[in-house]
Amino acid sequence: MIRICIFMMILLATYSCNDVLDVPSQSDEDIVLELWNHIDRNYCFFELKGINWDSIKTASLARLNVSTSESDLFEICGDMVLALEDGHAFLRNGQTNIVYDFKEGYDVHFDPIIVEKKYLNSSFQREGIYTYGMINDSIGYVYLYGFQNRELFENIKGYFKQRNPQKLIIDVRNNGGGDSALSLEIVEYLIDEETKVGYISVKNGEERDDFTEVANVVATLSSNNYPVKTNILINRGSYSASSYLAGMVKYIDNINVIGQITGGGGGGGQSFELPNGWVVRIPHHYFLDAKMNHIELGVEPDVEIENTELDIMNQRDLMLEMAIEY
Amino acid sequence: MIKFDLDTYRLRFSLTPIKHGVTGLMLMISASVFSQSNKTMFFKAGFVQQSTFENRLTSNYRGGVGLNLELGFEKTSEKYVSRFSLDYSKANQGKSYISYSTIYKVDLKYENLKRIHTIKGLYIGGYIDVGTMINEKNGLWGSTNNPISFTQWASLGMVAQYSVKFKNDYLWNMSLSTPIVSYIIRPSYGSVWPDKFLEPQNFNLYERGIVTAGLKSGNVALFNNFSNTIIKTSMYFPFKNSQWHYGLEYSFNRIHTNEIKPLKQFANTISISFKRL
Repeated sequence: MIRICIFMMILLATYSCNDVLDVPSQSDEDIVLELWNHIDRNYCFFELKGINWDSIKTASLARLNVSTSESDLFEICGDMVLALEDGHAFLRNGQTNIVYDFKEGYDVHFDPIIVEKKYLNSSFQREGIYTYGMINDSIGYVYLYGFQNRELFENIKGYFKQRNPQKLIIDVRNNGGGDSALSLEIVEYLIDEETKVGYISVKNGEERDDFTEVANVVATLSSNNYPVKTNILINRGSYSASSYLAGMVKYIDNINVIGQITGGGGGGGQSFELPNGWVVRIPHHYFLDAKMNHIELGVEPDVEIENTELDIMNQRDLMLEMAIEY
Repeated sequence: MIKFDLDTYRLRFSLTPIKHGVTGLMLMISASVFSQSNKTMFFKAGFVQQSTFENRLTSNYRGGVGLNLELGFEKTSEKYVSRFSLDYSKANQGKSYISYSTIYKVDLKYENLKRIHTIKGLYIGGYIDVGTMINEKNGLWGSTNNPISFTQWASLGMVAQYSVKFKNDYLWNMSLSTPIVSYIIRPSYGSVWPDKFLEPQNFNLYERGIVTAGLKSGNVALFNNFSNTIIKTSMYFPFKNSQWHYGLEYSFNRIHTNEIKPLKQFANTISISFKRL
């Protein structure tokens, strides 16, 4: 019996150590194939965007030759990432960051300094990437340049609780996103009953159509909520967590979305390191709004309005003026 | 230590409680005098060299050197050895790359071995082990909403120990342990959330919390799908005019699972330890 036990343990230990530290190839072709395979097995918007990913593989491999330099290879791999037309996707080599410009083809005109100088009363506060204050006695305004520092957002809640505005304007123009948890927290601040605000689905296998069943995303009632009429200001520079916010509030009665279509970014990115140390990030899961629409390509506003370059030169923000009036 | 604070997208991880906890335990140990003839506490400190391949994050092995600490309590008798230990390690992985990370590992283990009379010095038994390995991304990952990967396990396994005393003063130990059956919790294929968070009606972590859904998300794995083999060898030498011994220990640990996405880790640890024998 003892000998059987010892034999079994040695067998198990041997079995568990049956591989070695295999090092993947760093040849140009293998790096292209590793990148292609990683995107093929994990990217979640092939169908939505109608991307012919197989043809990208053929075209990318055809660009390799004996004189391909490291910078050439980086450009080839970068072009593969750009083919996804996704602002969440990037390729990094430590010096250069290749990322798709989701604002391309759109005029985006916004200057937060004009808001501070012309529209906010003098008691406005600027903390980190947040600016907040009162436009008049009944309208509160907060500009979020990014979604970070949820503790600081608690200060903003306290500020408005003291001043008791009848309307809020939450400005996420040119907000590239960040901690998307904050989007839901803001929605929970603005609602007066539990609300389904969307759905989420995640890649769960290597095949292109391997996704989990959609799961509900529910905004629960916050203990220190402030459910007043709210206008959310968006533009094409509003990406990722900003689009989540716009998508989540789109069908909530007392909240309006005003401005220009957002940049989209309805996926959630995960990063992966290639054999040569470069890092690629692509979305592995996506968010749908409460009516199951993708927000990856942008969230349309309820009220469409854009600033022109001339407006900004004249120190006017027509989008904000609409949000004040609406 | 792990806090899911948004339903939707972010798993926030704070390492501060681990650091404070380990510091506190070290202080407790240094203050305590290991007592009782057949009961002893031990403390080990050393360096760990890890090579880790976590296919969710990289296509390569990433290596690094870090710190390893182990605290334990051991009770021995003529027939049995029982041991309770807490092992902690921290090591940076691939520091020279733009996408380096730090791996934290905490392992709580209870072993119970019975002396085999037919072979002098041999003990065989079983163990229960609960552990967590967290891979925190530190470099240019761009991982605001998914800053970590993790593996959690609870295992039942077999352990064997062979001890030889030389001249009644020097003690040589060798042990081998390996799990037979384990319960493994890993992130889902495409996110940092365990699978059960993604079921309909279940994706609101504020309301439902991490514990229940997390525990439901695991899978039972036999030795062929989760191995956590540890081979240790140590030599203890006596202090003059004291029952206290100091020792040098080498440990090899190999973790492997194919659960969801492959994880392999090899760790070599060299530590010094103090023990009353």
